[in-house]
Amino acid sequence: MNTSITDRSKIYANPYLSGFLLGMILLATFYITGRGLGASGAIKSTVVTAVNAAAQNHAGNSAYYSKFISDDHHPMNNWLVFEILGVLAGAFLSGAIAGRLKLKVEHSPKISSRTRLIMAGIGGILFGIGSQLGRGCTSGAALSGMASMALAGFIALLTIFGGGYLFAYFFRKFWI
Amino acid sequence: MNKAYYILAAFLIILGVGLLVLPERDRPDEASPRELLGDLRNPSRFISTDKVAEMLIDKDPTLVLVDVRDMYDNLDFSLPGAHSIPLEEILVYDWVDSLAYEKSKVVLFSNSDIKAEQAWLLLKRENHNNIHVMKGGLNCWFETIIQPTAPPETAANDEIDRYEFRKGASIYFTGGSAPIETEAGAEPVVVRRKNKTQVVEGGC
Amino acid sequence: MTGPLIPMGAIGQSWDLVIALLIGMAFGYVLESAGFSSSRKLAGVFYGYDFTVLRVFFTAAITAMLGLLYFGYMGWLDLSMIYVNETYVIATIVGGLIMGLGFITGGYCPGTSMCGVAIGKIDAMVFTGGMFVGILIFSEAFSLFEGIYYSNSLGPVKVYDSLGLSSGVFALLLIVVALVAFVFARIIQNKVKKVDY
Repeated sequence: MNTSITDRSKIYANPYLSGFLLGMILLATFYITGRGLGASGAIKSTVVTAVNAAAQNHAGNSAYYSKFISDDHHPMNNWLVFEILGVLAGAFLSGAIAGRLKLKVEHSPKISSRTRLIMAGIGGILFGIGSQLGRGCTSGAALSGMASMALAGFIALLTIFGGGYLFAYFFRKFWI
Repeated sequence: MNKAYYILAAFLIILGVGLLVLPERDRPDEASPRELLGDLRNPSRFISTDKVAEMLIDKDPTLVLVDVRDMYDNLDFSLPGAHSIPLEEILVYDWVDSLAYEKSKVVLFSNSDIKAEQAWLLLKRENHNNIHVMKGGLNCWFETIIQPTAPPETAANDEIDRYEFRKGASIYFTGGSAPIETEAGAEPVVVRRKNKTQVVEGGC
Repeated sequence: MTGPLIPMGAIGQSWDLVIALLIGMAFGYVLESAGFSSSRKLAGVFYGYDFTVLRVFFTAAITAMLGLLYFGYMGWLDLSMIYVNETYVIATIVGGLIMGLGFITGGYCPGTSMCGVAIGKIDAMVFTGGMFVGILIFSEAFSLFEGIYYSNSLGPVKVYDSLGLSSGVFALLLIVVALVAFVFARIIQNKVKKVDY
């Protein structure tokens, strides 16, 4: 078996095993906290904090930001933010062990780096808007929602991946 | 495909079928000790003698008084309109639903707090809510309502008001025969309503 | 010890954030080791050359779901205290479609983009920056979205209730659907042209 360094970074864990472990982590999260995982919420907290710091009145008056600002505690002092910090650490550790730590732009050879970065930016903006409207992302709404058997979770799952498949044809040149 | 995957798939199916096939577990509809401890530490179940007096004077229809002492004590003396349901019989039948409706305040009392508290805990275990305990029991009732002690001249207005209320209540409940000093020619005692939602003030 | 532990008071509130950190680390580790830090691997589920997303997602959802149901049955967990997402039909559908578009253009979702950032993927960093901007846009223009955001609220409905099934039947159905999907994924992946990433 070829185990040169370039190949080692492409060795990933068995997806079913990973899925099982992820399910166990999710179960533990429910068992300990009563809630599931999440991700987009942490970024939302960052936005709220930044806006609140930059323009406090505006944040307080806004119909949306004000929902997440409270006198009791700092918006960054919440579960999801700490979870995401953990995610960064854990992913870094895994990447380091696998030899995948490398500063680079990952893109299909058929497009340029620059194109990829532009598309990533657009995708991010869309996901930012969509995750607020949908009150969660694939981790928070879809995955955790499915585990707790919430109707919202399944709707989220179907529309997120359904949407992806719907638009996939039009963006095929960017990937394959 | 790997044999292992077939086995895992079969295992998953078995787990899924298992949920359908497992018998219903008998869950008693009781509050857990942990919940009860939380409820015990919460003082909102107490209701002051003043408040009970007020509700009786106002003829508040949501008040349901329950005397949990034994029958003979109840016959000797009790609060007006109180039902006699001794502690020993508190669980015999479901009296809460027959005596009280959704907005009722069921107030348990005994001589001191002890029996009333015990009754409260038992009823709480059976998940009855909206049950209260008159703080201090009938002993406190005598000390505050029937024979209130006058506060010193330098007391806060609140205390003085409360004393006035209690004097009036005393006359109301004893038919005017309790030994209360009134000055000759004093104005008629006005029973003032206090809208205090917080419980236990000026207790014993 | 009946769960959920923190709402029941079995573990102090002060452990909450520590636990968040630890769970996050486990989450990040598993995601990255499965390959979710790579946008091209993630996009594979939409083009048929890599179904890792499908396999991981379905397996995780089913494992957690069965776990919750069995824990509830055994009395180890009070299922009534588990958070169930509220259903806002229109907002979820519209948001989901926008997210789907975001997924196919950006190649990431929030959790996976964090994994990408952690190992140095610049496109992941740009994606994350984009999310920041997107949330900003949504918040500033909230009045435009408000109608959709609050519309059609059904409350925390469970999926099996809305279909008129019992939780056990639904779980079994989902398992069957997942297994069928896994089989098809293998067939399709074998037929599709290999992509080297």
